[in-house]
Amino acid sequence: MSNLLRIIRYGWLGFWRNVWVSVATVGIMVLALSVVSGLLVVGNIADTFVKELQGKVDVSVYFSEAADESKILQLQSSLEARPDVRDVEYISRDDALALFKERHKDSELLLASLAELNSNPFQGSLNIKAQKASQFEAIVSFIEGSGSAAIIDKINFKENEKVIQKLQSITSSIENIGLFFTIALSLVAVLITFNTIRLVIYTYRDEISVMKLVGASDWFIRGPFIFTGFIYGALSALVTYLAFFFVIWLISEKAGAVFPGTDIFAYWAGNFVGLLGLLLVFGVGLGVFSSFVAIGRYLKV
Amino acid sequence: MITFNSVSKIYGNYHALDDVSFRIEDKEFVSLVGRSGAGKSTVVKLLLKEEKPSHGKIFFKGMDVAELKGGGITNYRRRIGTVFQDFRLLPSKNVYENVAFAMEAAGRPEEEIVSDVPQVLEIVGLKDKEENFIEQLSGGEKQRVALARALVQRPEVILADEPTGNLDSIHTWEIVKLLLRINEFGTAIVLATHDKEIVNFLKRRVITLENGRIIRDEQKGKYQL
Repeated sequence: MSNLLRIIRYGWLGFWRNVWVSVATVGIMVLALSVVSGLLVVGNIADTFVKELQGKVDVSVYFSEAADESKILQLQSSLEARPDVRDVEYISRDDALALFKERHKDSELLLASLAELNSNPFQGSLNIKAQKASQFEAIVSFIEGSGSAAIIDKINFKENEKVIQKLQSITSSIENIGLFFTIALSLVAVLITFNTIRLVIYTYRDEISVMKLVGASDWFIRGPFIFTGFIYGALSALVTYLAFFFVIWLISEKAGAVFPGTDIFAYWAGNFVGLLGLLLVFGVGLGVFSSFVAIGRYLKV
Repeated sequence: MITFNSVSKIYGNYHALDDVSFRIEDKEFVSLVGRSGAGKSTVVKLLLKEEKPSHGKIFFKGMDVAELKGGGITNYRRRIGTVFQDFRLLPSKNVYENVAFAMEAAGRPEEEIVSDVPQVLEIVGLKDKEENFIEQLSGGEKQRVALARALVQRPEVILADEPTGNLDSIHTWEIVKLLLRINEFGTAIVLATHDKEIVNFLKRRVITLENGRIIRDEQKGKYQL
């Protein structure tokens, strides 16, 4: 126990006594973690943007005039039970008529023509939104094979299919590009941090060999450096989270205007535990791992 | 206590030590003398297991030093105090911490450290400088810190490799007197030096090396090359 306390004390002293080296190291780690944070924010914007786009696409199933409403509602609940279906909205014939009247309340001619008909010309319909555009095909074939085929007049999937396919290719491109940048930039962040800590430990190489010669065990030498790495990582994560909190607070409104539907401040502040936790795991993990690896070669005395 | 049995150390084509054999007994004070490159520092490095012999065996208290591994090396080094020409102190730590470090590394309890370190600093005359960092000390003071660090481990032997090489004459004699005092407490001293005055003053055993070979080993020797 006393050895652990000594290791922690020397680790803290190593951080504090070389405070400018520590500030520089934390500064570089903050930059590296900012890359990770930037990816998270951009990822969130892209995700919301893609969802927003996908939300605009739906498939409507129109039912024949004679269709029994209970059968339509039965189909609605079986669709809602599917995990790939995000939302199903039932618009009855009466609703459709009311909607039409509301929409065209200023057009007397249209309303007059409607009155001439003496009956409701609108069909009941289910508007279906999928989790992903690529899932529509499966949903449509489910409907066609569901036994409700007799009451269905038309499914507008074929008309929307091209738009859906286009959207699908755009969203999958955004996801692939995002994944590529996440991997590439995370790797850059890892390498920058690793090399920074390696340089710091390089300046201690003579001291490490002296420690070995006076009979210190590898863990007694390594421990304080690992603890200092831990402090570097934790501090960098905290500084990065707070810096992003401030910057996002400043730009959130403008970002919302450019990418409608996104609220990056709500994302950053609302996921406080998860995001700070992720930065801490990344920062502390890197700090500890880099120190552990970098010191190894100087312990061979 | 220490036995060199036909030890050679070869770097490429260069024979730093060539078939060297000697024994050092408990509580002895032995000077290793010779010109630069004679092999004095190689003996010290081999004893510290910083280097391995190319041929031959080195024993410490009957233990084959070459056979030591990992924690065995660490424990072995704790039994030997070392003092070097370039001090080899820890610049990021103050005087007290430099001396305490060796004890902490050995896992000694805090009470023992708090009581022993000031005592040893008193012996080497640095009690009032325990808060100072290494860069704030003179060469003589640095070497006294190194001696205090060696001493605090209560080693069975102190290896001093040209400990006065970087010091002026006043500080040189301070260190020599300290080494004699430590030897009086019962710790063996192996002093590698090429300082003629010191060796002649000591009137102790002198092993003379030349081109990696022992050319003289006298009980009350003088500096002769």
